[in-house]
Amino acid sequence: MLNSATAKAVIDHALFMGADFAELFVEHHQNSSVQLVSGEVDKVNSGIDFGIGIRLFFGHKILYGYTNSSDEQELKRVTALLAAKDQRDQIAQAGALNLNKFQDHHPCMQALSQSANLDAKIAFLRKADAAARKESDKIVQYMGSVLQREQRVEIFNSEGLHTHDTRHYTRFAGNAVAQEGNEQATGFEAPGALTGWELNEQLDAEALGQQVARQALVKLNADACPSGEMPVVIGNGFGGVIFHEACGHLLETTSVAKQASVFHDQMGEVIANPVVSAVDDGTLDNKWGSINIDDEGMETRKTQLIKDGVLTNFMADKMGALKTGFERTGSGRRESYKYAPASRMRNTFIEAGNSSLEDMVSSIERGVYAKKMGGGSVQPGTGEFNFAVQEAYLIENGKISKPLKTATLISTGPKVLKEISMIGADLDFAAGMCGSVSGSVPTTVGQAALKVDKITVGGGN
Amino acid sequence: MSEQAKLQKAIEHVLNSVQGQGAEADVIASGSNSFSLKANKGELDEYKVTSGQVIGVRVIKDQRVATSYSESLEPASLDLMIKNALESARFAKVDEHQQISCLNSKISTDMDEIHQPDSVSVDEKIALALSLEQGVVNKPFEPSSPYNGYGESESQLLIANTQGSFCEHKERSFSCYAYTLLEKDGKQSMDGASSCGRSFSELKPQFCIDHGYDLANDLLEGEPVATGSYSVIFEVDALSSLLGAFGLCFSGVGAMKGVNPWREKLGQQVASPLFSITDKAYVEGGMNICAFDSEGYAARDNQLIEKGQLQTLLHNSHTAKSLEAENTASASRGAKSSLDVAPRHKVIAVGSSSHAEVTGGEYLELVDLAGVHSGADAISGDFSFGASGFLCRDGKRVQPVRGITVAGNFYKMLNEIDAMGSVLETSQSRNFYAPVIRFSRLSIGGK
Repeated sequence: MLNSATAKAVIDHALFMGADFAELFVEHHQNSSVQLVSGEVDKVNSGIDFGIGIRLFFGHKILYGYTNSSDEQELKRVTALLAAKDQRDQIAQAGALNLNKFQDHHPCMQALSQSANLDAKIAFLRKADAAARKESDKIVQYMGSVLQREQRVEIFNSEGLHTHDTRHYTRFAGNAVAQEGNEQATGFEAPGALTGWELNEQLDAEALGQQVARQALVKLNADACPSGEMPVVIGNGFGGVIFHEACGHLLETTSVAKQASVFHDQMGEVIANPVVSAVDDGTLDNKWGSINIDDEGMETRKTQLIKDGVLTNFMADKMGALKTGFERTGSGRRESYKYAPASRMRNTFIEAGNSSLEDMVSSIERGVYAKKMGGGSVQPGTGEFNFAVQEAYLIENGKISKPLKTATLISTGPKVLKEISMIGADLDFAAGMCGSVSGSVPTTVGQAALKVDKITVGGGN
Repeated sequence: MSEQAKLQKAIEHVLNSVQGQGAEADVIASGSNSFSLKANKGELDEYKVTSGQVIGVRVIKDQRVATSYSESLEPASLDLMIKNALESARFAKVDEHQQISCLNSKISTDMDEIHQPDSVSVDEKIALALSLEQGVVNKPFEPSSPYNGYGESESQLLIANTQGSFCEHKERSFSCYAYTLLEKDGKQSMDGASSCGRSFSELKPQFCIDHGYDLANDLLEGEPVATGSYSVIFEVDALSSLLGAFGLCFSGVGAMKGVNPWREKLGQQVASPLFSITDKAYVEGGMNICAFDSEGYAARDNQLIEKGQLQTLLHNSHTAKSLEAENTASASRGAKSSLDVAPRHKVIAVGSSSHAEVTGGEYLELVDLAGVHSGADAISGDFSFGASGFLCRDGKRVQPVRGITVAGNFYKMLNEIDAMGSVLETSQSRNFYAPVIRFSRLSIGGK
């Protein structure tokens, strides 16, 4: 996408101005989305983003700029603008650029650049719509969409790195609305993967429609969720958002380096119940949060974050590694060329245990079974997090009883990690988007069902 | 060629090409330059300079609509964008109500107020960025400021269509923020504040430092209150985010899709008679001022609820035609997105209660809400958020409160207002204005 000679000239210019390190991140990003509402095609959007991000290091200071132009003079102009206040005699020499193509572990058969496949996508969405409405005449609306993206990145840096990668993303979303009298309730699912349109062959459109319709119907006449501290069983798959929020963000060097994480000085210490082992793994085949290389051009890897309750690793990008001394983990990620990379999660999950869901539920006299989770957020400095429960049931006398309405779970990372007492064997994953300092990136959360002995539940009762 | 001239040339290219292919279109082109700084441990941590542009087209052919965009203004890229849009439109439903209907609109947001010259040196801006962190660090109990920053942006927006409309807008904005992280006796607390304005001198860095520090300090010893029902007052920024999460109830687009719970409530009582809200196009000092909407219609004020009665939803030309309503000139569309609606400055009318009346007896003052993006169901109205604030009695904070949840139903909550204050407060982002409102009962999850 960018001529190597141009890249080298810009990098040389940056080092001439005194930078310790210079990097160019070139991005061409094609996207296409189609949305179905009321059984008809409501929106068809497409577009192409193109830009180049320039990152310079002067000591621990990051200088970052971007432009939509690949013209050498414009790139040098932005570089000079960035370095103007820090200009000094040259202290580093740029290495010769050597193209290094990493193996593609996430092959794509039906790329967006080959075809948008709008006919097939619309047919898929219609099938899901029909299946949702067939569940009940109380389903008054169904909205479905397919988003497909193809992100080509090329990275050059002053250490001689020249590499590139193409990432193919496909994601479906289904949203059903159920109504009875004045009561309305919704159901939502959004499976996705790092792959092309062939993802549709692995997904059942009818099952997706039925699933969101069922979620909406269950909630329609649900009781308000109780409030207060109580035991909670969190379902598998998207339930993993508890670890993502409660702990994952606190293990990114983005917050560790600033000592804005409650875990910044606890490496090697017990921070969780010994049943908890957790991983952030960028290598899982075609998972939504996987990558071949991170956005700094480093081959990604599996990172064991917690082993038997002991903190074993942080997730580190290049600057995070420089500031903290911890090894880079191939976790430098960014939404687009508009952001400098930062240490971010990829596919983050708590490893499976050996308890059964029945064992967990039967151990609770009164509590909540949070079968399906929504999103959440965390304040890294204090570890205080929250996340929404999308589908919940009351547990009474060791049995799952009636459905409950929307609720939120809150606690702090250090506290909840010690309150996880049982982990199931049904490990599963779910796709999500994670927002932080370097923008919104695809991440996977995962876990088997697990039991938290005590957590604050916020319901309407 | 100037940036504006490049954008204008691209717009002409797109409109001529679309018309040549027998279609109608409107085009949004925008460009921006921004500069931002962050500080850490007494030094600049990040220095960011950016410039970008984007052009987006909404084409209508044979009553079918699609959108496409490009970040390159090269003719070949523009032609590909048009080709993609026209090909996509073939798959869209036939919609007789979506048209390029804004005729010969020539509006310019020609206001010195929102586009003031900036002669402040980079050194002064760096000094401000460093002072944000330093101001926090100099406070008692050795706090740190892990998150702080200064930012400025100059942007231009051009909207044109095949019906002869051409509107232009330019603005400049400045902002800064600082968070305080306090740790004492094994307890941590973090809070922050922001300030924005149309000139560098309008920024209030000391307010960011003091307000964030004071809140973090005051909340440090916070504990959950007992689970139960409490009377609640939301601080103005918390109230702004709460109302923002339920913006669907004012959306004509939501009504058209059948998901706005107020779609059939026009003229009906949807809130307490104490509650009136207007979407204002212009508020002095407001940060969302633009003389036209995203279709090119002149922006205007819209009374949404008057004394609890729903007066109108927010409409663009499409929703207005579909629902046989009046267009409120609330069209909202970015270069990369489809036609939607959005408010500009939401203003809740003041009531007649004195501060003493609103804050009499016991209530919870909630200053921070967490998880608003995930804990709100705009269709059912149910919400549940993490929260922190103060247990208050007769207007005085008697106990800091943390680790609680606040839950309820937004549409019921609007009908359960005990008192409406008489002084208008402004959100830190300067796009939301409200008096102190006391809500009767909300469910609090605590200990």
